[in-house]
Amino acid sequence: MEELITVKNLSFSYPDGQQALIDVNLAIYRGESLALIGPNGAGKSTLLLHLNGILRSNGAVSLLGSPIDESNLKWARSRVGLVFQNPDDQLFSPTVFDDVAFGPINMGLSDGQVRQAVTRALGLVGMSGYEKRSPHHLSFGEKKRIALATVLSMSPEILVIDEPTSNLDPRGKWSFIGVLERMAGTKIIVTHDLELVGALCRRVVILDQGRVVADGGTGDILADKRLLAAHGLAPDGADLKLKRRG
Amino acid sequence: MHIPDGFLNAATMATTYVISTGGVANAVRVANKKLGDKHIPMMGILAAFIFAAQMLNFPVAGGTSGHIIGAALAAILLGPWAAVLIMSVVLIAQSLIFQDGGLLALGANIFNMGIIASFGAYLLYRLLGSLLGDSRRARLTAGFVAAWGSVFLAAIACALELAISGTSPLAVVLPAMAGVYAFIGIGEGLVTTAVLSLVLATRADLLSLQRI
Amino acid sequence: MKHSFLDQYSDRDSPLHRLDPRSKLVATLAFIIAVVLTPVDSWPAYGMYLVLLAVLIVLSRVPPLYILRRSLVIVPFVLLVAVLIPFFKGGEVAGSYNIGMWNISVSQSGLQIFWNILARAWLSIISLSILAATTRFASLLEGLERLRFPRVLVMLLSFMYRYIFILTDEVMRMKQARDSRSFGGKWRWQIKTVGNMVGTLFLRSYERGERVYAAMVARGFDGHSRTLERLRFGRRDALFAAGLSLALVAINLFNLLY
Repeated sequence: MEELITVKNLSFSYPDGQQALIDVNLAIYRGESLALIGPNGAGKSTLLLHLNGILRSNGAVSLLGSPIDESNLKWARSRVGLVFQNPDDQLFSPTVFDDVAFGPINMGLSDGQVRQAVTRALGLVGMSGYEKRSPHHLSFGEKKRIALATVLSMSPEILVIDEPTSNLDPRGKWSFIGVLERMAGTKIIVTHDLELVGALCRRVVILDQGRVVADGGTGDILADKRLLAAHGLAPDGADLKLKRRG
Repeated sequence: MHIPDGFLNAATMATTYVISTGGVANAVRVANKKLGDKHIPMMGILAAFIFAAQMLNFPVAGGTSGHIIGAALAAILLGPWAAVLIMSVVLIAQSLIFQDGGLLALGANIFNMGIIASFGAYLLYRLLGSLLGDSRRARLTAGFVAAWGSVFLAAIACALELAISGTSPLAVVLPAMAGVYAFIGIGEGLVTTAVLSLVLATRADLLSLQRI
Repeated sequence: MKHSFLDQYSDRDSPLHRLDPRSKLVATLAFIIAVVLTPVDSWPAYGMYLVLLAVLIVLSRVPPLYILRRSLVIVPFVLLVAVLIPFFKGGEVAGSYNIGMWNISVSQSGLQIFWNILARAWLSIISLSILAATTRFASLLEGLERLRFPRVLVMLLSFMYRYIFILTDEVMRMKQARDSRSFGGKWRWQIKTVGNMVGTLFLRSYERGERVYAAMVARGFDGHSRTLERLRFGRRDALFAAGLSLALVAINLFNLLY
């Protein structure tokens, strides 16, 4: 299988000294759908921001064999589509059209191509006809879909989605999972939601305290309750006892 | 203090328009130089913040309520040019969406509440800072005086414009505006101080950011 | 949450709503300039301006009461000036009043200035209200951009407009939380509470600015974003702007001649 993204010995600390990632190694292959899970503060979002060069640590991340650096940032960002957790951070334009067109315009497409890309992306997330709506008139679930469309319109090879199901009610969650399931291509999903992982992903990587602590098939990892509990992803014995008594 | 159309004469409108256009153009240039393209979302969202902060009313004497202008807060936290840019965007939107402040009077309103208030506050804050030192108490005192001064100076500028336009005699409008806004400025000062004390307690790093 | 104070009527349909925003912007600006430059005591001209606005309101299908309510924002300023009229000196005395120990005389010229300012301010504000009530803010921004208004300011305005909704929602929630813990007590304490709310709002807005910037950069933003041309300036739009300007010229000619 072709390796799309290679992360090699990636360590990163923020300017305030907080060490967010320690010697992370990871290979992501074409066509796979991978879940990146871990407790709050594990470094998931920091890793995710490295995948299209918003954060950079000298050549530690390669895309299709080329290290991401200043010279190929624009290309990297059009190949790796990042969907942020809060759609209100991702939808910043006065209309849905403007938001979905933002990426394609920055890629330098012609007006006609931009319009086509917008129509196609909105169709993919089931939101055709919403072009003229304003984000503040949309429901949370609708905003989530539009946020996904803003990235799909750039036809990325890899979709990186941060917490796709957070804040959605069960119906909204399963319908959004349905949208993601129909999406072809490589997907990296950052989440705490193990139901989502079970439904969408073949491979799971657990990140804790800036390190990769597990990498394997979804079935094996989700069945290993002890591993999940050790990294704050499932209740451990003590929690369960409390719950039963309470 | 938003002047509607019709209160100023042509010369005053034209002069303030020229000054404000220059001020805003320079603010854009400085913000772009210091913040790069990040200034666009940042300044836009902070303009929305000032707008929303103006919706938070506090009681003033006699059952009426007031709200802050916000120029001083923006100038102290982000620097005078950032404040000019943010206040200008707020004032343009208020004129276009709410008709609060006229279209032809926009130059004067940006001059008063954007340029005069921001630079007035910033200079007062810096001056007092160098006199009083860097303690928490000193910063809060400087913040209060700067915020009060920003409102007072803006009101005086507004009074002068009205007098020059022949709308009101100077001997009357100046003491009237100065008196009213010397009082209203206390609210601005107290709210600004409370904000600064919160920021000092939770995100003191923001107060040592580069100013624009 | 509902934001009835924003864009309340601008999503409706009417001949005025359908016009290109550029046409409306130019017409509004021309109207306000004409009104502000019309000489003092040209009452017939002011009357005709009002008729013109009435026609536009009817065409816009926006409730006239809404426009009138909107125009009340000038009241504080009008009061300020009104209070000062008695102090104008010179000219004929129009009336003299005894209020307590003060003897206040109102001069003819003071009153004249007051009425003129009131008429100009009110006519201007109504025309601005009509513009706002018939044009979505997004398309107003598009119009401004095509009229060569600086692109940076258009972008800043568009960000501001987008996040006003989110921040006012936050303000409403904070107000509810505050009032549910019974807001009151000493004045100093109330001010302190407002200060804390404003401060919290500032920190959240600042952090949001960082996140939004990341989301923009992730989609290839490099500070030079353009927008697609979507407006179409047709014959109808040209006719409206030209017709209105012609009416303004006619009113002023009439005013000069009579």
